[in-house]
Amino acid sequence: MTDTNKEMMKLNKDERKIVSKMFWRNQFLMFCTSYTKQQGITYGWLMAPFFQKIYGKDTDAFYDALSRELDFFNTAPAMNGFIASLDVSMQEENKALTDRGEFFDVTSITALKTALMGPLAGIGYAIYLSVLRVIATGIALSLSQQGNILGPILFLLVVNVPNMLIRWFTTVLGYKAGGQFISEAMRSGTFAAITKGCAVLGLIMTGAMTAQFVTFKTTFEAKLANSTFNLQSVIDSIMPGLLPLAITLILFAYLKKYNRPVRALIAVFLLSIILTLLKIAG
Amino acid sequence: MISMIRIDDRLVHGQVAVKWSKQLGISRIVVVSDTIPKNEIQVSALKMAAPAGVKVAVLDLDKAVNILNDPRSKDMKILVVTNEPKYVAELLPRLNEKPLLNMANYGRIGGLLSDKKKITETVYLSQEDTICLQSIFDDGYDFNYQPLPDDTAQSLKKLIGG
Amino acid sequence: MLMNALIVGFVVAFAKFIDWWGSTQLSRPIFIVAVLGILLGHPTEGIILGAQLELIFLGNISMGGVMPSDITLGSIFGAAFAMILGSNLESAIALAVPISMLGTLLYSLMKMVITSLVPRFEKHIRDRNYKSFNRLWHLQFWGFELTYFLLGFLVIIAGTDAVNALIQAIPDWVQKSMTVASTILPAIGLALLLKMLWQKSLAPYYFLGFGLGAFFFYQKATTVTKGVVTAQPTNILSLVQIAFIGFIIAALVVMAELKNSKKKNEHIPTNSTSMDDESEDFFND
Repeated sequence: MTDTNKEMMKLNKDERKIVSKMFWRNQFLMFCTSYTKQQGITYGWLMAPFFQKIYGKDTDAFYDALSRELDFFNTAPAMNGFIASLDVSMQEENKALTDRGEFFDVTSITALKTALMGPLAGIGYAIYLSVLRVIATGIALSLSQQGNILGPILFLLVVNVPNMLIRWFTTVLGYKAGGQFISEAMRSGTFAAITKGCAVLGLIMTGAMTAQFVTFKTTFEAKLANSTFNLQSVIDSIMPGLLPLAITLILFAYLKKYNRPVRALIAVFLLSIILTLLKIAG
Repeated sequence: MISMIRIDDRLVHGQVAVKWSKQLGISRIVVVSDTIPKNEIQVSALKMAAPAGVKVAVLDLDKAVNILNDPRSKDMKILVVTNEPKYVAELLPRLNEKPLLNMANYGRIGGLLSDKKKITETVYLSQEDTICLQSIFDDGYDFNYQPLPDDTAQSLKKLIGG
Repeated sequence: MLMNALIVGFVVAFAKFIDWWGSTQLSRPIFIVAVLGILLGHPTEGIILGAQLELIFLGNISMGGVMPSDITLGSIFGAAFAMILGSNLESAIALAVPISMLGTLLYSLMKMVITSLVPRFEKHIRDRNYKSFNRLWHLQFWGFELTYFLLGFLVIIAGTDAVNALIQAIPDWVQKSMTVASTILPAIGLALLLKMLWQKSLAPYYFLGFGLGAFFFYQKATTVTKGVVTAQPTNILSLVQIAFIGFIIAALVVMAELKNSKKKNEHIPTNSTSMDDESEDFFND
């Protein structure tokens, strides 16, 4: 980061107060989502105290602002700090300009929210669901399987140290750096690059987890003339993990085509029963 | 050639853009609005949201008409999206073709839902919207209500009327 | 039993809170079932059950307010019954899967109630009554939490005997096939994960990860006697080590990508907002 950028990210006392309040209130965004508005109502709820401070309690301007903010809204909650604090800074600008008798187009706030929720959800889910959670789970699982308390503790830390840092800095960025910053990030391809990196890391981890956590083995044996034929050891000598890989890819192909996870689940249960009864596994 | 004109609050976004582009074999998306081209952030967000290999142009009404009527557009499959019915009403008489119209995800942004009439799960219309749509219907057009290509298309005219 | 029911009720309500508060991912079985185990006095079992249930539900993610199945509810109840009744992992799985599906129904119902409150929220703002708006929000928040607490409490109070009878009635061969199923079920989770991440051009990275996980044995020094280190191929590359390699590869991809788009951007003159340029660009490939 260059020096001017660093300067820009510095907060004075009032700004720190606003940003930290936003940081805490934004933690609640996912509560009480509805079919018609998703996070819309709660978005309005979390903005209300800021509007009260900017426009004054129970003023017309306050209610106007709040009713504009109840629109349909849906984004990755972890990224919303950016949108919400950008929103606050635009409302402040609106108030300042209107007081001076100048015009501020308030519909641009809604337009911005609508424009940003998609891209931020994209990058947010890429970071959280394909990287943070997958890595944390991968690291914690083998410890937890041995009953080691470090498993859940590591899971907590690996997800949440970055989580809280991301939440804090996106909130600061939205408030201080504003729209220019994100516009630049989108245009220069930074967004796309990070999303791709996340997908790569997520795929590598998914592959590794296929090898380590799909533990299906066949117990099929056949007595030949004077030796036993053990199917699993033959498979292992060709390629370890061949069965788990095959099962995962078959399920993937099915889900990609038909998207029926419940049917896949039932099929796995039925298959397990058949394999057990036929003494191929178990 | 315009493969479809769609009204959608969120214009170009996620699955909607990807699935429709794939279904219709789109190579260009034209976003029509008189305000959005002036907002740099919205423009970059829309361009970024485009599926791979699809170019997005964000244009005001006049420029959009010019481009869509340009002879070079004949060989391209173009998806036109907008977030306000009035642009469709103004666009249609100025085009050289009669494109397919589609509406979904409309009306949940801008204004309270209680002031609007629920038409389907994702379409809410204000009185103004209904009047504007009526004028489009009067010109002999109808909209498909079809959020994604997998959904069955329903006539918006019937949905509003019934 | 009362104490257990209170604990489960509390854990369910807490899980529902942490599921939505701060995107912490702490409602995942790997964490919440461990917490449940500690509170119920079976810490080690809780941690292990949490890991096993996590494996099964690996790919079930709620995203953008859409919940495919309520794995949090399923895991907590499955594990709670298993720990309270002293039964095994197989019965926890057998219970968790159907409960998680029922849980989605309950969640959809709750969401419908919340949706029906939307006009009321709008009305309060129209009536310029922020106080009621705020109160209604808190009311639905606590109503939500209370419902889940009561659900946890009542299911344990009322259901334990019935579930016990059910588990006793499960024949041996079903138990055995459950064990087999638990070795395959993670594949569904991984397949769902793969579906989310899949892009044809990135497919090799999946197989790279698989290869690292399956083929590379690492030599771990196990004993040192008289200055001689005995190394045994005890473990495959652990996921921590694979994550490290993965990070490096991902960083390389990001850097290459950035360089690429920088080059692309140079071709487009930055001040090309005029009509002619944009229209010309529209027709170019």
